[in-house]
Amino acid sequence: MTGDPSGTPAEVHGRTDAEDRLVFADEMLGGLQTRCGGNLPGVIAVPELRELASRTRHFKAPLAREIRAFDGERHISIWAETAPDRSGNGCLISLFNWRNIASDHEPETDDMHRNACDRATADAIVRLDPSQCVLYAVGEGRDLADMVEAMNAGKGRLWTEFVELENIEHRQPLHWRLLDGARCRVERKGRTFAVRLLPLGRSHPGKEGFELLLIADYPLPAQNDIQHLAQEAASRDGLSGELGPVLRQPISRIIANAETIRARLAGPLSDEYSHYAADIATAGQHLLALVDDLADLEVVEAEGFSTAPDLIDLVEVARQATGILGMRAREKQIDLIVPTDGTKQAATGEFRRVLQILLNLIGNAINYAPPGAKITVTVGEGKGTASVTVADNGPGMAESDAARVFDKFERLGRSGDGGSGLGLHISRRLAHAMGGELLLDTKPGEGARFTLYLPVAA
Amino acid sequence: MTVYGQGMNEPIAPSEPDNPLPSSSVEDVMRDELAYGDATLGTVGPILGHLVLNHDHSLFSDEIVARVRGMLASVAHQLIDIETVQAGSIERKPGDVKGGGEGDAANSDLEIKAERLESLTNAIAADAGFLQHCHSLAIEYQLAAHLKARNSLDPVLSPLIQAMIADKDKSTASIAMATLAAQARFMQQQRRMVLPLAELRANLAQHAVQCWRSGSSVTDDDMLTKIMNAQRSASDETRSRLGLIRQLLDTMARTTSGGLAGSLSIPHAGLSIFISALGATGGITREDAALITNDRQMARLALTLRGAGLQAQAVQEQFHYLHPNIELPADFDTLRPDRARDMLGARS
Repeated sequence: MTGDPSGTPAEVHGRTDAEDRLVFADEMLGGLQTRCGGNLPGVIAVPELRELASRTRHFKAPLAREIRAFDGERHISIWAETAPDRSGNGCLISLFNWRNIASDHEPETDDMHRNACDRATADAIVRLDPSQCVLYAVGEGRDLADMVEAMNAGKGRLWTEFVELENIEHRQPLHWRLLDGARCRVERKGRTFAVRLLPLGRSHPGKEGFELLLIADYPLPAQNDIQHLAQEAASRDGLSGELGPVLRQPISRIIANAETIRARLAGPLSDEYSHYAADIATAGQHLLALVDDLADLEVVEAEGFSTAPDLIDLVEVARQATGILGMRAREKQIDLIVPTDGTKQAATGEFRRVLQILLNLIGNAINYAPPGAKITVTVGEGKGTASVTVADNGPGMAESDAARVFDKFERLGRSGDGGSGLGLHISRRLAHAMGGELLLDTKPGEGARFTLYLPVAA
Repeated sequence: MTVYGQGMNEPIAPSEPDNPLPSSSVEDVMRDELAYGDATLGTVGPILGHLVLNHDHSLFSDEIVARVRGMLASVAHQLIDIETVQAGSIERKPGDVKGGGEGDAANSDLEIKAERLESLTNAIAADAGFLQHCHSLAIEYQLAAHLKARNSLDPVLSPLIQAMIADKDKSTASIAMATLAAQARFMQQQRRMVLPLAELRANLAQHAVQCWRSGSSVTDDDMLTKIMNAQRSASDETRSRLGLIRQLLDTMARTTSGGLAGSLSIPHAGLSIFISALGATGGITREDAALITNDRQMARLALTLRGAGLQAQAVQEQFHYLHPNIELPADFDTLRPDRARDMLGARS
């Protein structure tokens, strides 16, 4: 903010007659008039002001613009507002924001540079009315999309309702000068943003509202930009569409190369480095699993997701699932027990989706059961429903945990084992999509029983 | 302008002793370079003369030229980025990188990318229509920023947009809202000298893709189709900013008794809608409409506005914003709109 020369009143007034003669002027304007070679009363001696006054009389409508003047010593910039007077012959002049400028050229202050930089780099721009309520918002970056949408849907609400301001406990709204330069978050654990609140309106700052800029501390990681582009390129197909391969390919390459190093295929290597490579490979596997989970999540949460109502045999699905996971179970000396040959249990659902659910349930049981445990898969039939149950004799879990286990990203306090916390959530969504249900029955110390219910075959 | 620089893109082949060029080919190369050099020398005079003598710099100021260049590069960037992402799924062949470490490979990748970017930018700029489009956007942005500073006119939220957002008709309100958002994005994109492919109208987008295609090493048909589809699905003319403004004007013409008259007011409609309306009512392209806001086109502007049926006083009001120190001829109001149109018609 370029400071006003000290002693300048906020608002300076004057009045002209039908021939653009200044007939009344406050001291400031009167002084300018005489320094510019004019008299009082007399024709306005400031050319741009005279032009404005004459136009106002002509249009019989209020006008406003910045005018520049040179009084023999200094270049001055003034915000001028003119309006026709009551008689309709002359006009009323109001002058604001009276300041000295270096020359006739646009004065470029540090503030202006800073504001221009901040505008150009802003990740979100929100237009506010004079009481700091949202008029509209635009923004870039996935972490801002929800906020922008909420702001545009919630026009007229205070902007501070949509962000978390850091270190500001005061009841909102604060004066804009206190908020300019604050910091905020849009997502709880997301990036922090610098807040700029630029007042609009030349006569009084903020009279015409504000421009709110949110400037992120750092850009989203480059990978996300590529993701974003790929997402657009794939017509927003996301992880489940063309983006999946784009991500999976490099991760697979990382895993393959790490395996090569771990196995010392390229020559002798100290144990330490071999172990590091093994860690890299494991991390890569987890990343790959996460990509798969996220892709699945995207699919099951998409609008219009549906499954094929095929006639399937639950025993056959269970047998396939245990076949796939048999190796992992044997590694942990876990017994996998499936119904013996000859048993059948018909149900209605999509084969590969039911297989996916069972792989998740049995895979979890293998992961979390202690070595030497027993995992039993059984089938059953009730009123109009068929069921398949995966039971283990592991540690089970508390009731409070059991209630949360199907929540998205719920890890029950576990970390570092590569799980995404999405498996059970996705499984339950799939069960619902097939007109069924996935339930858990567990008590601490008594193992866990997950049961998938599906409509029985018609 | 298009001739200058073209020859520069093809470096003169190095004449290493172990790889001598046939003499005729050396001569060809030198002859071509000479010809380009001559063409350049021939244009220095007029271009420099124009820039030095022309005190009005709003058409060819450094800023305008830089913006146009920035927009062209931005379009080239986007095309190459799409290609990179799509090609990311293609394994690099082991023989692709010879010798050197990973760093060298990355550097040479960057160099190749920079070279392609430049040649693609130049190819896109070779189309006069494309250049004009970028030029008009740069002028529009600069003028909008100017009006904001000088007259405190909001470049995004004009009274007309505000009124239409509050319209009882839902489709009008939603088009107005979409226009507002597009306009806000436009200002931000211009600050960054970015021109999204999605904002280009079909023939311009097609030109850009064609340029990319002729210089692309991608031969895989599948990939080509994918990239073309990605580009096509991204650019939907009706959702672009200019498409939305056009819809807004159509709605106004249909529903308001005054037709487009309200949109021919800079303070009421905002500069961007004003330019679109000026083009639509004046029967000229939007690019030309942006150009005639220039200081050297006042007669054309005044006649176009008068030809659209504006009262002399309303024309003068627009001049107040575009050319604050210009007074229209005293008897301008005696010039009938049909005469104004005739005068314009006779010139074009």
